[in-house]
Amino acid sequence: MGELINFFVRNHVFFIFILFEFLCFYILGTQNSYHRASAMSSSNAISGALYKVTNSISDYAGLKDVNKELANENARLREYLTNKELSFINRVDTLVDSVYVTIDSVLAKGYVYTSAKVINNTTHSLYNYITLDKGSKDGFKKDMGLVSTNGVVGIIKTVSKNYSSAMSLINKNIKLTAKIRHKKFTGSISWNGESAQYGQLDEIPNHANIEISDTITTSGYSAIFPENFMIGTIEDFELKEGSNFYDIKVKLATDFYTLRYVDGVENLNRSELIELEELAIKR
Amino acid sequence: MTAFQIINAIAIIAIQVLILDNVELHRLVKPLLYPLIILTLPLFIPRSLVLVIALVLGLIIDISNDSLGLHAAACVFLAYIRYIILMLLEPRNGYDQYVLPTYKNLGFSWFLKYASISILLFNTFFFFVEAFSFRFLDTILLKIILSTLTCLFLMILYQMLFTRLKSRY
Repeated sequence: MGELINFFVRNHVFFIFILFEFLCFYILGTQNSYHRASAMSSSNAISGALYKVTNSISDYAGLKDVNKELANENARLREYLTNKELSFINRVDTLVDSVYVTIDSVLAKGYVYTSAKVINNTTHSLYNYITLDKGSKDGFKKDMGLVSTNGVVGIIKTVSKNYSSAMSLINKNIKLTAKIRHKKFTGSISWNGESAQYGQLDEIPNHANIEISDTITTSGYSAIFPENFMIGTIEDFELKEGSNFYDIKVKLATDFYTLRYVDGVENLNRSELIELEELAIKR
Repeated sequence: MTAFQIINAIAIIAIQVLILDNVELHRLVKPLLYPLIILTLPLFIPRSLVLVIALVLGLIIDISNDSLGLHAAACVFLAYIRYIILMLLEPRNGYDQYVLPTYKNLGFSWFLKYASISILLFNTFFFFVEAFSFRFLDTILLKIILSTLTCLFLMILYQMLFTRLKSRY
């Protein structure tokens, strides 16, 4: 017994090393299964506040691009309004910085958009996250969608009172259902960890008639994003011999290098939809 | 550890988190400076203390990077192999007990040997854990080599600027 204790004392450095590595790999493992403790992510109060300060300094440099983006979006919205009949919209309540739009019951889906500022954004990791300056007090929730003026950005994963942290579309853990516009085939979008400009689309069957520069949009199945939201365009595709599915390379519409303002999308009927689907599975 | 070293460590963490983590040179290059803190810890502090410092440092970097556990695992690994590398590179007449292992104190070629072996092993560990597979072996190997070179450059640059500043006092 004495010898055993002696052995541990003599090699204590090695055992501490093993213990620490075990600890690190343990938290690394739990993190990937979406159970990230919000206190230990960048949405916590301290790093959130720190990012806000550094962001306010670097903000001025990007004002020109932001203005241009906003002007473009204005133009697009105006076009949308003139094309669509205004009678579609029953009610437009303007909150402080969010627009509440309930669309006619024919469409039966209500989405709330809340704009937020990106205060931290990584593009070089395999698991990229985005930190936003809005949190639960602004109505942000877990599993809300995130879009920019150009397209889909990611999904919110942890929320604190003032900040939230979202899994970016360029994160190896993300999987979204997507469809090819006008062709009705649905597949799933994921990211292979290489370039922040390209994603990949899987599960498109080999009889689908696809072409380069076809538009990929959200499918509307997931209850996170509304239907027909831009994700990207087909850059390249191939059909491996003997495979039933295409390998499709998608050029993402969102530029993750210059992301500044995003909108959180909340589906007001999400809980109802999920309840209903769970009920159907139980039956 | 003197107060001066603690301020130095905070400065390195600030540069890493506020500047280098936001710089994207290339997708194969990850500019890391913070391993310098572990490398330049005093030579004769207990090895278990080095491991504890490395774990805390790694977790600080992880929290700001949303990569919980990844940097910490690599830091603890570096802290463990640091002693072995120091033993291998020990000069013939031994280390002076009170010096820090910087390039100014122990010579440029000694530091380059010490840092390049340490950082190469550190980056190898880091990028394989990050990818968690051997699938993109060529990309990972390129990442290791290019990031190691960038890291060495940054560490020497930091020490150059730093020692020049110090001599003014």
